[in-house]
Amino acid sequence: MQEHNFITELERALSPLPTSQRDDVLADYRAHIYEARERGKTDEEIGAALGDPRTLGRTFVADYHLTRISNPHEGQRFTTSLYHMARAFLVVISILAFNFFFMLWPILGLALLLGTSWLLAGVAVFVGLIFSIAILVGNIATPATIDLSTKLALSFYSLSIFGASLLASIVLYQLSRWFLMGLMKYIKLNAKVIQPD
Amino acid sequence: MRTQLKKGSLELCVLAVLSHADRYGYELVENISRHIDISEGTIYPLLRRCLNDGWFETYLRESDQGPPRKYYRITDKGREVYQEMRTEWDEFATAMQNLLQEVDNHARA
Repeated sequence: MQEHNFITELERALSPLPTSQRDDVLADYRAHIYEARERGKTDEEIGAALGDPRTLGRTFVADYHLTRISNPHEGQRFTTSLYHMARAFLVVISILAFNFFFMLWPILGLALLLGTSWLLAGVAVFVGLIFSIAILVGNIATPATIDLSTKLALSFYSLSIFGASLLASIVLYQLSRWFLMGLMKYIKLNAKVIQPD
Repeated sequence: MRTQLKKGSLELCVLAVLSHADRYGYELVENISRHIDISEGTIYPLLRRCLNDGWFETYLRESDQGPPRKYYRITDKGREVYQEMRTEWDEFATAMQNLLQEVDNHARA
């Protein structure tokens, strides 16, 4: 019978394992697929029920490195243990990165948008404030040079810029809070994924 | 059911099923997924870990049709772990049930 896609992808993900262990794992899944086919399941159903072969493969690889640390071979050098620790760490990171990859661009985009808005709002608040102060001081200091209506208009504009930008900052603050809260939830969700199941 | 809770209890599921009778991989998955919605592939890394910890051992048995099947058998150590986890689970379940009952009674009163 034709090899299931699941096996092909799993085999690729298991490539860091020693051959004997990899064959053991693959045999288990081949048997599983065989039994499921015997019961009349379609390959799509079988694949969907089994889950993502890449994540599963990485779980086996992480487990392998972790056992090499906790049950070292006889005469295993410390550097070998260190090596397995680093590899286990990398695999866990790669499981994370795989989940993260789809979300990375939206997250970066949103962060950039929020960052730019904060910068603009900051500049607006600053400019509004400086102008307001300058005009108020100017009104008192040089009362003769500019007529009253212009002075009032200028004060009004600068104060509205100041006010509007302050208001925008409050809205931005709330949006940023939501963004950070969402991000925290997402990170926590991912931390759960890597905990041994 | 929350994923984390489900993952933690999966070990107990496997131990419970195997404490009753020897099973091959697919049979185990079928037994569990009849009651709990699981990602079937995750059973095998778990079985491997339990094998490494000496909770189970495996043997091959001929099947009527197709290749021989790999059966899992619980060891004495596995039974010990099962008893421990089972007691813990039962205590937790009872406590939880009592708490929920109490809250419900208060809500009704």
